[in-house]
Amino acid sequence: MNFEPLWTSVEYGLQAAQGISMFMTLLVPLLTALLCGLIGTRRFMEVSSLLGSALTTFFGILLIREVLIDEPILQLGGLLYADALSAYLVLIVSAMGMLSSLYSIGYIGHEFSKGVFGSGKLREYYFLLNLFLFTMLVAAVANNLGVLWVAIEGTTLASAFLVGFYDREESVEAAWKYLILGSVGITFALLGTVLVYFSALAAFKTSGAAGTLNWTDLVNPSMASQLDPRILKLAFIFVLVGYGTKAGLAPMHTWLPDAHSQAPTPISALLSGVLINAAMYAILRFHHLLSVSAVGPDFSSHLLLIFGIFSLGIAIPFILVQRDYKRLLAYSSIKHMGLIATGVGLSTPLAIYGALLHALNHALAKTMIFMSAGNLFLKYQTKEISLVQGATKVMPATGVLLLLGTLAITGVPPFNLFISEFLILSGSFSSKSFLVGSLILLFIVAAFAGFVHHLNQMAFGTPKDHVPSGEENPSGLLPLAILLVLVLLLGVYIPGPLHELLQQAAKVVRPQ
Amino acid sequence: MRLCSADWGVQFDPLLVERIIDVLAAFIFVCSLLVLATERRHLHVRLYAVQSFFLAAVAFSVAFFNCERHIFIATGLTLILKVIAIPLLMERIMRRLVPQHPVKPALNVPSSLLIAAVLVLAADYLTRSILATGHEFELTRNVLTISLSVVLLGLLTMITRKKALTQVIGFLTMENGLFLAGIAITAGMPMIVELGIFFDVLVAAFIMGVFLYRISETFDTINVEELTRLKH
Repeated sequence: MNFEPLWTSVEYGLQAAQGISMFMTLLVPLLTALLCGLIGTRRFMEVSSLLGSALTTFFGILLIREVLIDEPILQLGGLLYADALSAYLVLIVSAMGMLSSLYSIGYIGHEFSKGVFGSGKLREYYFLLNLFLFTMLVAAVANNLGVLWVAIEGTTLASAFLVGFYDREESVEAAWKYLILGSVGITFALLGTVLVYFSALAAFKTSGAAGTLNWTDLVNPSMASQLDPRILKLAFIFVLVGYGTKAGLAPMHTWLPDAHSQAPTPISALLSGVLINAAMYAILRFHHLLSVSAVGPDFSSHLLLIFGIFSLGIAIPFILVQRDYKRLLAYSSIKHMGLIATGVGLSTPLAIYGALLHALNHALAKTMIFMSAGNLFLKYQTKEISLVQGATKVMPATGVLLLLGTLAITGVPPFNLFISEFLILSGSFSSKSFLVGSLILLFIVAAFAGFVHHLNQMAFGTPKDHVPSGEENPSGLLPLAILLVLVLLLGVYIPGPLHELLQQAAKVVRPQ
Repeated sequence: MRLCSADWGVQFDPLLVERIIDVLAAFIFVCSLLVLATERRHLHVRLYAVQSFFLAAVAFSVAFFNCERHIFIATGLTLILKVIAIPLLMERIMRRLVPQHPVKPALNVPSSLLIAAVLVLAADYLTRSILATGHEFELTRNVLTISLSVVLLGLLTMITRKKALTQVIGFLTMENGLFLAGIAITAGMPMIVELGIFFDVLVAAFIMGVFLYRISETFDTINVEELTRLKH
């Protein structure tokens, strides 16, 4: 048989799809959200969320192909822009979105059929879940720094009701803190953006062009060199404080453990694994802008390094004394975010590559461990570490996955986080930042000790009599299995396209 | 349409225009101070509406005198959303909340005003450190100082007041300060950004309102000091 016509048509179709891939990564989740809002039947929403996020991931991968083969893309009159860094964030958001949708079918379905909430709430859940993914994707491909701000504020608004989903005292309190601190933080980020615009206006006036906040115009060397360094420095401080609040950088992190632990588990995974990366991405855009301007890369690098190390350090005591396992995971996110900021702040190509890889690795491992913790919660109905015992006996599959997730998140080889942590460490030692390197090492070891101590209690020991054996959420094991394969795979091998993408993204973070 | 001064062929003294904007901005600042100086929440909402009105006036002046036509849209939106819609929404929510015992602020009024003075000095210092001295920057410098001060005073309100509603007002005034900077020192952000910001603020105010209501339902109070279920 002759397959040639078939392949030609597939290739043709792919090419056609490529031209619209960036646009489709936004359109699909938005449509999915609207459909879920309009048609509130359970099966329909579960299937459309899964299909929608799978389609988004497909277009995300096409986008990566396009960005790697050709140059960065500009669309919709310069409103949308994708380079390697945006494509990388699109990949993280859409892939994790797909896994969370898959996990939601079992987890949210289980709680729904147990009567924890009604069908109106179910509709709210799927609507907001897809809207939340949409806002993060807009942040990834926004060219205009103001639109980027609108999108990041949008993530807070879309996810606030998800954090307060259960309407309990704790969840309302967590949602309130999240909303207030998130909005205040983001106000400072807007102030920073206004200042950047202000300094750009003078430059635009001399060149006779109309003022714009398009990132591509601002980082243009002829423009960037004219921006007033004093204003840019102040703007970056505001931006770092603002988006840093959303990224969970200490000391603006106080809302994070509450929100991440009170949200429904699939949302916790998205908040911890994905949202904080989106906020960090916004900071990196400004970092690039400062690097190519008269300020140079050192100012923002040093600030990122200081905030990074501080966040790393501040998370450790809370990890050690933690009594609630979902909060434990939330504090671990602060630690890993600190590590990513430190890696970028170290400013060597190796450390930046490691930090970017760490964002994906952390997203995978954190999603995995949150999902196994979610299965645990459905069984034990408590988040107290001391009340969970013998998980490996009661629910062997979840118990083992929880243990493997713990090893992955603490950076034990052969799991993926080991590689990225190792790269960041080598980056710090090769640039002779011995103090930073030893601090990172110390904090990683301490977090490892804390995690193993807590999880040891939960996984082993004799289970209480009244807890019957068996899985509560068997379909939730499928996304967990996929994640396990991915964390192991990335621990031994980085695929060629990913390597290429990371290298190009690192060049966006630190222009040479 | 003949909307701005140039359309009518009228030429205003730029110095006069500067003075007008300066004075209006000063009123915005005074409203922020008054929010800090009073503890009655009905007054807080009214003060926010008044402040937004002066903000709309600044926006109108910039649009009219400097012929920045797209700012007329911002003026209209400010009037509709911030002077009317959001205050009405807040009043409505207040009526539905459970009756309140008076709550002592974490910091009394004189001390918070003292801190406010320090914050204003800090804002002034920051502004001077980034903008060259000289007459051409005078308006920009004044307005930027005021908008920074309004942002910081809003933050102070949020930190020192324990009522959830006052925290929302604090947030909204912060945003007003920001908007002042956007309008007066940069002659408005690009249109799509401006619309996006308006949309976000409206949604934020609405969502915060819903949560105000939920807090008062679940906790029987909107005193955020009672929100202490989550520690460590």
